[in-house]
Amino acid sequence: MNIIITGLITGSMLALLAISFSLIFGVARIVNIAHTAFYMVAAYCIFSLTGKFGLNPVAGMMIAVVVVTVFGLLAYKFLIDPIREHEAAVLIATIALAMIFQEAVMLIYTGDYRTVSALIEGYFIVTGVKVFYQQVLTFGVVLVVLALLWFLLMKTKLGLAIRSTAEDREVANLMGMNDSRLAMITMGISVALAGFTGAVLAPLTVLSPFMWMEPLIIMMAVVVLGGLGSIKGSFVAAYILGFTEALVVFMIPKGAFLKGSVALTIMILVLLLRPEGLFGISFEEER
Amino acid sequence: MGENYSRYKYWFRGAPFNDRYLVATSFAHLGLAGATIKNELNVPVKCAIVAEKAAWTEAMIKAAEATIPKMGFELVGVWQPSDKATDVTAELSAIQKSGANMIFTIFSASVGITFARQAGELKIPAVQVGINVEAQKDGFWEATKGMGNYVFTMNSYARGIEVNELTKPFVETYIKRFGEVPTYTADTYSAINLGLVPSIEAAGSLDADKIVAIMENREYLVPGGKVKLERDKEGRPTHDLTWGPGYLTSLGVQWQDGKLVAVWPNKWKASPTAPEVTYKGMVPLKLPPWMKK
Repeated sequence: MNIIITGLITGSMLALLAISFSLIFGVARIVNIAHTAFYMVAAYCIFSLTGKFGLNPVAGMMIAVVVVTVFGLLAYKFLIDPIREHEAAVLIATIALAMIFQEAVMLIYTGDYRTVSALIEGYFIVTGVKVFYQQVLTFGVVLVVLALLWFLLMKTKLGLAIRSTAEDREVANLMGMNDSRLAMITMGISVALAGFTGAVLAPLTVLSPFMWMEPLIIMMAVVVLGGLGSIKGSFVAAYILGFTEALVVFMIPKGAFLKGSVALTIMILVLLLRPEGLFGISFEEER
Repeated sequence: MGENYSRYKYWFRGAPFNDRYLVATSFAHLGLAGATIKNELNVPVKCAIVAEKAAWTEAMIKAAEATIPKMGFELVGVWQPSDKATDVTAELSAIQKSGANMIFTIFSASVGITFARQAGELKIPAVQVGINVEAQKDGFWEATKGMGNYVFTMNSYARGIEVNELTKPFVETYIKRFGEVPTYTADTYSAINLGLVPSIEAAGSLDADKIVAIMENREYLVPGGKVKLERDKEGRPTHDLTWGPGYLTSLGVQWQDGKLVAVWPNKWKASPTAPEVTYKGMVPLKLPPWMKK
C-alpha cells in the first residue's frame, strides 16, 4: 500500500513538472533549466504568504502561482525571447536565471530549512499503513490539474495550436499561427504548472534555496525516458520513475538514498538502447 | 599526529571532540533513553538505527551495530535515507513494523527535520535519540510545526544550563547578540580567546613552537567544560580534546513542549567507579505519550 501511495504521489509530481517542461520544449524548443527554480519560488511564496502574512493557505497557493507565472512571462519576454533561436544560449541563460533565484531566496530567507503547514493535518490507516491526508489531497489535486491540462490541450483551439506547433513549427506558422505568441502563452502555462507543483508540494517537503536541483535532475530523467518533447511520454515515464523510486525505498531500506541514482541509471539505459525514449522521435528531421 | 609530530604539530582540534567520543556520548544518551523505557513501560528495548547517507555516519553505524546489542537492546535494523530526503514515510512504516521503541538518529542535514516532523505527525511509538543537528537549533520547533516534540539530540549548550561559571555569561551574551542558543561551532570563540590568546601571552612572543609547547600543557576552563589536550598511549601529544567527567562531555537536550531543555548528564557515571556528573539545570527525559498506549 505504501509503495502504491508513494509511487502515485511521486509520479504525479514528476508528471506535472515533466509535462510542463516538455510543453515548452515541444512548442518552442526552449530547454528551461530554471523550470524547477520556479517551483522553488512558488514554495517560498506560500511560506511567506501563509507564515509571515497569515494568509489563507489556498489563497496563498493561488497568489504564489500567479506571482510565479508573472516571473515566467517576464523571463520569457526579456531573457529568453531575444535569444530563442540559439538553443545553447537559452540553456545557459536559464541556468543563470535559476542561480539568480537561488541566491535571491538565500538572501531573503537565509539557508535555514523552512516548512509550510499542511492544509489538512493528520493521517488515516489503510491496511495497517499510515497515510497523511495531505498526501491524498495533493494526489487528488494533481489529478484534477492533469485532467484540466488534458482538456486544454485536446479539446480547445489553443490546445490544438499548441499541439500543432509542437508537431511542426514551420507548418503551423504557415497556417497562420503566431509562433512567438504561442510560445509565450505556453511558457506561461508551463511556469504556472511548475509553480502549482511547488504550491501543492510545499506542505510535504522541506524548503531550502537548493530544493530545485534534485527535482530538476529527476525531471530530466523523466523527460528523456518519455521522449523529449512528448507529453504522453512524460506522463507515463513520470509514473514509471515514481514507482521505481518508491520500490527502491521500500525494498532496500539501507539503500534508500539510491532512489535518484536508480532513476538516472534508467535514463542512461534508455539513452543507450532507445535514444528517442518511450514516445519520442529519433531525429529532428522527422518533425 | 603521534607518528609524524613535526608535520602536524601546528594543528589543534578546537571543537567538537572526535567521532569516537561523539559515539560514546550517543551511547550514553541511548543508555538513558533505554533505561527510561524499561522503567516507565516495563518492556524490552528495541532500537532502530536511522542515519543519513554520508561518509561521517559510516563509522558511527558500525560502532552502533556492534555496541547496541551489548547494551542489552535488540537491534531491529538500519535505515539510510538521503541527507536531503523529503519523504521518509516508507522508512517510518518499516520502523514501526519492526517494533522499535527507540530510534538512534544520525542526522546533520534537512532529513533531520523531515524525519522528526513525519515521525511526530504519524505518532511513531518510539523515542528519537542521537545526533540531529537541525534539532539543536531554535528554529527546529517552527520547522517541524511542533511535531519535533520529544526529539533528543546531542548539543553543546542549552538555556539555563551551567557546566561551569563561564557557561551562563557566554550563552546569555550569545543569545543577546545572535538571537539563538550557540551550537558547537560557537566554540571557535573559546579556541581563540581562551586557547590561543592566553598561550601567546604566556609565550611572550609569536614563536609558533613556543606557543605549541604551552598549549600542549595547559588546562583551562571554557564555557562547555574544561580543555585538556590528550596524549596517546606512548605519551605523545595528539592535540585532541579530552572527553569525560571533569572535562568536555557536551549535553543531551530534548524538545519538551516547545522548549529545548537539557536532560543529560543527570547523575551520569562514565563507569561504575567514575564520579557522578550532573550539571545545574537538568530536567528528566520524557517519553512521547503515544508510546505509553
